[in-house]
Amino acid sequence: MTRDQIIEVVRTNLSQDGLDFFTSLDFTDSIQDGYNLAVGYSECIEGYETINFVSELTYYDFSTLLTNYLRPLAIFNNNTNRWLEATSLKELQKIDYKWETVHGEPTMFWPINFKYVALFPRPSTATGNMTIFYKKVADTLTGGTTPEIPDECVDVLEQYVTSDMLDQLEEYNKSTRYFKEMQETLEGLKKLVNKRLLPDIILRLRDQNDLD
Amino acid sequence: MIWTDSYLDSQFTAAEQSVSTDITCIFNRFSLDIILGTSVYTLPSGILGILAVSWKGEPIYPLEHTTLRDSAPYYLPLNAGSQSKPYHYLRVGYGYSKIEFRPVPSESIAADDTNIYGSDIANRVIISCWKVADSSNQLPEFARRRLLKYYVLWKAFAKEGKGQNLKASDYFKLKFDYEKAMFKMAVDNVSKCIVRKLSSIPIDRSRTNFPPSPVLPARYRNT
Repeated sequence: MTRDQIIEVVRTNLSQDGLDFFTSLDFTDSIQDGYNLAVGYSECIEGYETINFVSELTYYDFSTLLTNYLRPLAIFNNNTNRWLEATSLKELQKIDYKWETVHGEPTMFWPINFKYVALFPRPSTATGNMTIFYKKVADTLTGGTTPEIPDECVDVLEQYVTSDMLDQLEEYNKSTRYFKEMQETLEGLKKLVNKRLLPDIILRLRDQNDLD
Repeated sequence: MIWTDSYLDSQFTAAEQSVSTDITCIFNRFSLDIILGTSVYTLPSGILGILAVSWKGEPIYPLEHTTLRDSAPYYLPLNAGSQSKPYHYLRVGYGYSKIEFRPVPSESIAADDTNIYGSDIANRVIISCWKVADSSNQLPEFARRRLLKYYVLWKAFAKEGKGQNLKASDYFKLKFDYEKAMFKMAVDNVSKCIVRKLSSIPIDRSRTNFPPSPVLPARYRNT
């Protein structure tokens, strides 16, 4: 279902077919808000990108280096063919009190917030690259774009936009009904994201137990 | 009209400050202008917590007033105004308005924020901290618009005057609380990869159906 098709469903919910009480900007802004909410909080989109190391750089701003970056999952150093270990500031300070200026091939990373990730040690020359596996935020929807939300839960957008439009009409009771539906669908989406590999993993665990 | 543009603008700023104060998510670094012989320095407003202070790449450790008191004989010489590279800093005044270095700095180091995330770490005195949102450090885009919208609607409908609607205000307060709780969860998830590492069970590859891993000849192994 594309963005424009979802808007048509919302128009029907609001009995707005053929009417122009709401502008198309009202709908597109609202559906983008709902898409940002659903993707940002369910973390349903994952991706990876390779970026070059920068000489003498400890803190990388992934929000500018990667497309739609939300948070890191894992980092692979392509120079050493090793995964970087996720760690905390406290652990880095224990390893080396001057950790920010130590040179070498990165072996650890500290995820700080939605922008920054610190690497330890930092490369002294800009040689090679790393591949970052990460959770993504939603991109900008256009008319013919299909939102990257599993089909089972794509109703979350319709429910969000309908609720948002009813807010503008100050129909709070009706809006609450759609908002609660949206919350339930979002919870379902979060569960789906967490469990999407589960059957495969359970089979692996069973195999392991059989061998034991 | 009770909702002037300036009133709504002020509420947008208040919303961003309120959320970023309650949920620390804005990481910031800045350098200090160190002057030889001066121990107390005023910090920019909006600091919520200092993560680390580094003096040319070396850490300066925090010192609580009670620790200073309990360790008076040891720190007494530092109180007397001795000068060297500082080893500790004290919080002075309210909140994070000022810090005091001990011993007193024995050199001047100019502030320059150009490369404090990389090549200039070894040349500056840098403070890493959590901050309140401002024009250059805003809440992440994926949550910002909704958080701010619900906050402003909550406050605007509660304002005294023609147009006040307390039912609507309560309604948008609930929506704001929901958004804030979801955003808090998203912020907590950033460090999830560390938690997963702590809880992971080592995998015995010989006993699972993972693809086999190559094994280097003995002469390449660490023994």
